[in-house]
Amino acid sequence: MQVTVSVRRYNPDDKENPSYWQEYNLDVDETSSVLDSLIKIREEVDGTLALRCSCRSAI
Amino acid sequence: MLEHDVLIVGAGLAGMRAALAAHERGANVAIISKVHPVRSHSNAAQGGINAALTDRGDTWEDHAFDTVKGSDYLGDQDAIEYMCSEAGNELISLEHMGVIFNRDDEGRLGTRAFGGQQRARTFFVADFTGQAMLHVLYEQLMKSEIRVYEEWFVLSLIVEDGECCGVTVLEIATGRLYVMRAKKVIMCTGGLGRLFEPSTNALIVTGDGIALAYQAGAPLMDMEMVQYHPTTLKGSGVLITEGARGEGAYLLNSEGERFMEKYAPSMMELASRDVVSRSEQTEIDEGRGIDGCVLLDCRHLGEALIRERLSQIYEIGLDFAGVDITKEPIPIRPGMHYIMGGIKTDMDGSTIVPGLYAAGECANVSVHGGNRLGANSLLDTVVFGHRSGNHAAELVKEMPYKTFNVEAYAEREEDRLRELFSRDSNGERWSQIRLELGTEMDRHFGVYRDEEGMQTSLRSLDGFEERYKRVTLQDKGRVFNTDFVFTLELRFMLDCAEAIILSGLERKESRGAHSRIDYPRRDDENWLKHVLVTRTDDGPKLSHLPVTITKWEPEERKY
Repeated sequence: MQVTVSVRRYNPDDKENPSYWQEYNLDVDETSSVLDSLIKIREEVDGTLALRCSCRSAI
Repeated sequence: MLEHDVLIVGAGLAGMRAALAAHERGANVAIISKVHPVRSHSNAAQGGINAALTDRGDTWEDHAFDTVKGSDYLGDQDAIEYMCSEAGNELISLEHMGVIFNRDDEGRLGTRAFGGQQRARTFFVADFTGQAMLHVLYEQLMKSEIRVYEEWFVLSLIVEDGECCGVTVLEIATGRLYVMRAKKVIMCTGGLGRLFEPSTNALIVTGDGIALAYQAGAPLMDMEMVQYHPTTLKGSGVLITEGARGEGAYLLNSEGERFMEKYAPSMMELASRDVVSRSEQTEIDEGRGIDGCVLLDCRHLGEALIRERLSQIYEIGLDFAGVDITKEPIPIRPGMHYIMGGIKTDMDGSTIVPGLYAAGECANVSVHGGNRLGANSLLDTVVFGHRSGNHAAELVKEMPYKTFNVEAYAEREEDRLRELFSRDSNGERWSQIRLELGTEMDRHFGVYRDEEGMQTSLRSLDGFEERYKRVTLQDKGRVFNTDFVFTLELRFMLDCAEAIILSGLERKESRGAHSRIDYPRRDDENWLKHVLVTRTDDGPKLSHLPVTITKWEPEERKY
């Protein structure tokens, strides 16, 4: 399934434009969660995307 | 200069219990954790904590025997006796701190049945016992003056003249490096589940502390003993608590049979985990599975009980498998869950490296031997976290900080980081290697193993090591650079994999979770002993230690 994920990014090192939207188009499984998609971006598309997550089972 | 008498790495149950104990003894204590403390993986423990309370006719000796038998006689019986005899005290003190354990009809602390035990002695908070305990210990931590370095990541242990006396550490939010001095360091970093794909474990569980201790020269023991939990979801590997079977759920094959009748006629679904996982895998391999799974049937427990006592897995079933467990059986399979092996310690948590301690899943005391009983891991964390915190704090006030060349350590780490950051951005990343490593380990170090498969893993590991030398970062910034942190974690994971693979090849028998097709029997004559692996200048060295036996001679194991 093709999806577009829009992520509100934040980079404090960029003094002029620290906060911005970034779009990613990717192919995900029908049962994927939003978190699965973000992890896929982080691992396969864009290593600069940082997010806090750990248990991935909604604890 | 940052310095603390007792420095604890990891803020799960073992780390917080150790910190509170050391703090009570007057030591200046700090915790370093790569995540906020309540995100620690203890949070995911569902089913409960074991303790034999005498007011209901239970005895710690019975609990100890069940644990010894569960370990397939590889657990050290002196350590098991200590853990089981302390369980009641720890349970009551947790209750007094504020853990709201479920009650029985008479208002006493209530129990549920758990696998491999002759009676119900598992105390619980619905099916989120670990979370309840973690939050209560965190409250205690907040009340104290214990400093928590939150979202800091340890890079290496500092060992001077053979003594552990500090760490180098990265502040993730800023990317700054620090050298921290300590009189005692306690590793409480949990397991290494993410070496396997899939796993029940959280994404942070990457064997950091096990690898740090290994790199510092501490032996790792029984690393071949990897627990596959009988009830995990296909694909994601998310855990479905053993508490479901404790409450009475059935395991069914594709023909609708309660197949555990064939494998464990007396304990059925509540045989020990290694036995149930093997039985499920055998059913699946012999064609009586459904799409690589068997079924866990909770329907007859009734909606009221499920919604009260199994509320978390009810939600997990709906959200992650699309199954309402009150109405239909849920497909499950054996999946990687826990490492019985770890940093070899004595009962005080001391390793052979002076100044270095370990407690909880990253340590091996050893109380779990070849197979851990469900609900003994939470017990292990608080009993040995407590004891190691006490021991580390003893005499620490009179002890001076060791002096060493702080700048040299800072420069060494800076050089290592600069080299990694200077590589171009187009090479292979950590994520591809980590995925392949996980798939490899699951394939050859799962429920059944053999020489050929494990040798294949050893060769694959050589390939991963070569590729790791050239791994590159996409993120070259310093602020909250998780690309960098995951790359460092992969280094720890490869070190842990080396220890698991070498130990697995070494043990030429089947015992507990180490079930070899080519050596299908337990061989007490040759292998009633621990396997240790130690890193030396000439590479990893294997050695053995006898198992401590106090009261219980090895017998054939039947459930």
